[in-house]
Parts: sequence; C-alpha cells; structure tokens
Amino acid sequence: MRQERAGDGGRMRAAWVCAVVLASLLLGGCSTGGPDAALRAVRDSRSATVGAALAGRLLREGLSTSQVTQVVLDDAVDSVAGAGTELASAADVNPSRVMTARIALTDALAVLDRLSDHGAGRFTAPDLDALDAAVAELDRAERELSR
Amino acid sequence: MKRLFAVALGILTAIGGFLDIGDIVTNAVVGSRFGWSLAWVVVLGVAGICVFAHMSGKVAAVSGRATFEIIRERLGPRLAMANLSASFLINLLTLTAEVGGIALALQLASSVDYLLWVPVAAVAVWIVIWRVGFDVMENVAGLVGLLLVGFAVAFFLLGPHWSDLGRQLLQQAPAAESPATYWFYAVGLFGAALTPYEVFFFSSGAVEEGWTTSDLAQSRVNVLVGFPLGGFLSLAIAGCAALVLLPLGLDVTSLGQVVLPVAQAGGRLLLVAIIIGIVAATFGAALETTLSAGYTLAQFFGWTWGKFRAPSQAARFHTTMIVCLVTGLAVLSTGVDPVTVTEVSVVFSAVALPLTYLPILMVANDPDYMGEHVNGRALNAVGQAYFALILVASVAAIPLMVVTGVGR
Repeated sequence: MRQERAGDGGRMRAAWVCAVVLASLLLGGCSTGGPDAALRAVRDSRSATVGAALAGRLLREGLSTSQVTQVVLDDAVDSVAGAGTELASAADVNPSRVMTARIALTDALAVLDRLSDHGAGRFTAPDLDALDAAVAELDRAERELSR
Repeated sequence: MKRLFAVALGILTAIGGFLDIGDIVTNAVVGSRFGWSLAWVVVLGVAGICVFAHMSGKVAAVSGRATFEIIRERLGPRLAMANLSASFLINLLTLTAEVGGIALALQLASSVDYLLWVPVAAVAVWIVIWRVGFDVMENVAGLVGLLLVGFAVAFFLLGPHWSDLGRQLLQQAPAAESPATYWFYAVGLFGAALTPYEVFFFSSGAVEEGWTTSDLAQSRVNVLVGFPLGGFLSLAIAGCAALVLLPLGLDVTSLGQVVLPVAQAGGRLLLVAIIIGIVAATFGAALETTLSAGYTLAQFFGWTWGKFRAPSQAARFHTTMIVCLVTGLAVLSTGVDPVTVTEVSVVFSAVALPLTYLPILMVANDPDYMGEHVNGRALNAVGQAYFALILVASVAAIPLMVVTGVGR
C-alpha cells in the first residue's frame, strides 16, 4: 500500500510539473494591453445603459414585466455609479480623458437615476428616448477615447 | 413500466438539476462577450462531468461508501485533510453563490431588493433539508428546474443564423477581447461545468438512495443522457446572449440582463417560466451544496450522516449545514454582489478540481475497491486525459483571474 502511495505521489508531482509548464505557456501567450480607466468606465456604463434601454423597450412592447425592468434599471444605476467611483480613484489617467468620460457618465447616471426613482411601472416613450440619447452620448465618448 | 418511469425521472431531474447559478451566469456572460466561440469548452466540460460522475456513482454503488470516506482511507489523513479544507471552502463559496442566486431570481419576480430575500432563501433551504425527504427534494427541484428549457425555446424563437454561430465556433475570440479574458472565461466555463459539489452530491446521494451494482445501468443512463441535455441548455443560454446582447455590445453583469433575450423571444409567459426555472435550479443547487457541506465533513470525520436518518441521529451533520447556511447568509449580508461571488466561485472551483477528481480516478482504478467494476482501459485513458486538462485549468485559473482583473 505504501509503495502504491509513493507511486501515486510521483505521478502526481509529474502531472503538476506538466500542468505548470502548460499553464505558463498559456499565460505567456496572453499579453494584456487593456483599456485605460476612462475608456473602461465608459464601456461599462454604456453596457449597463444599453441593458436598461433594452429592458425599457421590451416593457413598452408588452414583452417584459415592470419588475424585471425595475431590477435592470436599478442595476444599471449601480453599475454606472460604480464606474464613476472607479474612475475617480484611478491613477495615471490623462485629465482630459477623465473629463470626457465623466461628462458622459454623469448624463447617463442622471437619466437612469430619474427613471429608477420614477418606477418602471410608469415608463414612457420619452423615457426610452432619453435612454437612447444617453447611449448615443456614451458611444460618442467611447469613440473619442478610442482614438 | 415502473423501471421506465424511474429512468425517465432520473434523466429529467439530471437535466433540470444540471444548471446552477454558476452555469447560468457564466454562460450568459460568455455568450454576450464571445458569442459561441467558447462553446467547445461547454462540450468538453459536460463530457468531463459525465466521465467523473459515472466513476463516482460507480464507486459509491460498488463500495457502498461515499467520496470522502474513501479519500481519507486512500490518501491518508494529512493529504485528505488538505483536500477536505480546499473542497469544503470552495463548496461554501458555491453555496453562498447559490443562495444569492435564489435571492436575485426572487428579486426579478418581485423587484424587492435581493438582500431582503437572502434570509428568506437561506431559511427555506434549511427547512427543506430538515423536513423534506431526499427523493422528493431532488425530484421536485430537478423537475421544476426543467422550466429552464425555456432558454432553448427562446434560442430557436430568436431564429439563429447558423452560419454566424458556426463562424463564432471557429474563431478564437472577438477582436475587442484579449486572449487572457478568452482563456479566463474558458477556465471559468470548465469550472462551472465540473463543479466539485456535483460529484460529492452524486456519490453521497447514491449512498442515501442505497444504490447497488444493479443500479449502475440507470446511473449511466441518467449521466450520459441527462447531463449532455443539461449542457445543451448551457449552450442555449450562451446562444440567447450571443443573438441578442452581443450585437448590442451589452456585457452581462447581472441576472436581470440574462433574462432579457428570453423576454424578447417569448414575451412575458416565457419570461415568467424562466424566472421560476432559475429559482428552482438555484434552490436545488443550494440544497445540494448545503448537503455536500455536511457530507464532506461528516464523511471525513466519520460522523453519522445522511438525510435518511432523523436529524437527532445525525446532529453534527445537520449542525454543519446550519453553520454553513448562516455563514453564506452573513457573507451575502455584507452587500457583496452575488454575481461576483458566482464568478469567483467558478474560478476557484476550477482551482480545486484536481483535489476532487484525482481520488475518484485513483479509486475507480483500484481493483481492491472496485473488483470486477474497476475502470476499463478506455475509461481510464479518458479519465487521465481529463485529469491532465483539469490540472492545466487549475494552475492557470488564479493567474488568469489576476491578469484579467476577474475577466474585465
């Protein structure tokens, strides 16, 4: 039994060595050059706002419930606010890029906050237009920051 | 006829019980960011869970003993203790994610903040474990969880362009994503499909239900038919996100976003069915992870365990489960995002996978334990190949999580 365990231990060590080598190769091929904090904040906020606009559109078309829409709106508020907080604490980002991102985020957050407080049950066509406008503004900011 | 019914019920509960919050969230996130380009990982993961669930069911049926009893005997107390510590903590993390998942799904149904649902979910899980029989508990959660078939219905209603999906299957990653995030989510999907608790629960459940070698054929059918069909639902979730959310540039970060493609495809009726299905699937998984917490500890330390015994006869087993539920409740009460807990839990599941699967592979290959049911050459080769994959995923998981900032 002891010999069997020693054999198991040897095989296990060899397997770990192989796994470390393969995983290192995998990681070596994964050079990252991710976006800076400003662009990331705009992308995250855009994604959340697009989700809120889709939820609103589905509610207007009678395909979704006000409960689901409300949850998506609330989550979007949290997400955009969180992106703003991360942006504020980010270091080494060009101040003009931060400003571009901040303007777009503030506009989107204002719209989402109003709709979330207002309640999904009273979601109207102009509300959907406001969300679409916020998405367009975030798109513009993303294009500018991507240049 | 009775036998046929038992087989059908087993398959249906295997399908309904296959998905948990980790599968639902990870597949939706991956679909919204990578389309179907990581579908191969789901196929690989489902085949892996079939191989190992089959082995662990076989070990339990032949020996009449569950995984951790054998791990301690086979690996010795010291190595088994390291195994127990890691497996127990990962299971606790998964349990926390599942309770959070129930609360998030109830939030979608009510728009009441999920934090208010967390204690309700934890107490409901405890009451069911305390009062409801093993068969009823497993079958009801699995059958109601079948409502998640709604994701497959939604996928076909959305009218997928098969040529586009085929192109996604062949491409490595969209241009907007880095190779690191691609591989991070590959490891996450693999971890979500092969979550350790599924094996603890499967083998302990086999002992609870008193399986013998005569039940092996049914176990094989449940695993080989039920799990792949459950895997198909995983692909449908990713497919729905790929068809609706990817073109909009919406990266899934919440459960509310996961269900939007279903609403678009099938309207309110399908949406309600899916929300009920998510509640059932996460509730079922919360029951399984809670029981797994009790199983692992009780089996390791040789305590009396099992739902087939009255709680007073298995006091430490039941106390462990209560403590774990309270711990999960406490973690979620801090306000930590359950989706983040889920994403972290599937990655750490991948880290702990070798600890769960190595002992099963070793015991299933040991003629002293298995007698005539010892693994054949082909199954052994497949098991070893999967174990090599599991090791690579395990070693790469944490560095990839750090490099990508949890997949951002």
